[in-house]
Amino acid sequence: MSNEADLKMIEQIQELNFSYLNLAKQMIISDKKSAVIRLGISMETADLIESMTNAQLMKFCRANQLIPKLGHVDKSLIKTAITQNSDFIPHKIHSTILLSSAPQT
Amino acid sequence: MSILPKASVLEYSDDFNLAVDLIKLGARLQVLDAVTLVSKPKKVLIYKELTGKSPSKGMLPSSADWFLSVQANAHASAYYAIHRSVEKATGADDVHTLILAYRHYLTLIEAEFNEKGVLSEEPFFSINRAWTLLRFVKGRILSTQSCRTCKGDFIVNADDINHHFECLFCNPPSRLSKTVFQSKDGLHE
Repeated sequence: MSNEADLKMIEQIQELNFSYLNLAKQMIISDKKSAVIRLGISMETADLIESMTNAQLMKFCRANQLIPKLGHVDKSLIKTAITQNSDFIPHKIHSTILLSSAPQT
Repeated sequence: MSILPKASVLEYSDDFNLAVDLIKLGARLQVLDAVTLVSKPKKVLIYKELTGKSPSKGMLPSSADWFLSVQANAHASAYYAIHRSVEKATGADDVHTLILAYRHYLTLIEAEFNEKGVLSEEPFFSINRAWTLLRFVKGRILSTQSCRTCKGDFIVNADDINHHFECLFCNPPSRLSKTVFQSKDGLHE
């Protein structure tokens, strides 16, 4: 990949990180209990995110990697999405079960 | 929760609000009796005002086997997974956990509410079923087990724990057809 394309991708990664953390922070401020469940994080992590200033958030986002990651559980989820069995059965239910049983950060 | 008949106004008000919240989510009298101390006549009044109907009398269905039928198992397992998340998040396992978890379950099935904030129609998996499920799990009649393929936790009979368990998604029963998952569960277009 060319250096230019690479840099563009990293820029997109950082933008996504920022959008994600902003959304997370909004969710936490609006309803912390629901946010913790939907984000798959602990109360402690939620408190920390809530306390971050915009400047701190931006600093945190300047990684070259995505902050919201596909965890190990998502391999099962993806596999179930592509197997034939999933024609008749609502995938939304299965994904809820798998995502809710993931360990929290 | 032990509130004496002459409870403080605030305590009584909390209990009352709890009953209102539960009725909006479709709770029947048996569940209300178990988790609030609001008097029977008051419960009936709140019920009539919110739903426009009299509460149905009689016991809730109490078969553990229902939770093992294909469609019920999917919903019950989803509800239970959400309940465990809420428990972990709040550190509590009480009626408030039941309510928060059930509300999250309702967003999953895209349930609708009317202008009074009451559920428009009874979902396939009602809050009464959720409450019964929790009692069965506490009473060790039902339990959860991990699917060996997808690793999700599913509701099973407490004495059926085996090492080859595969869930209904990874190993659907052979007689499964399109009609099993009817549109009534709020997940089909």
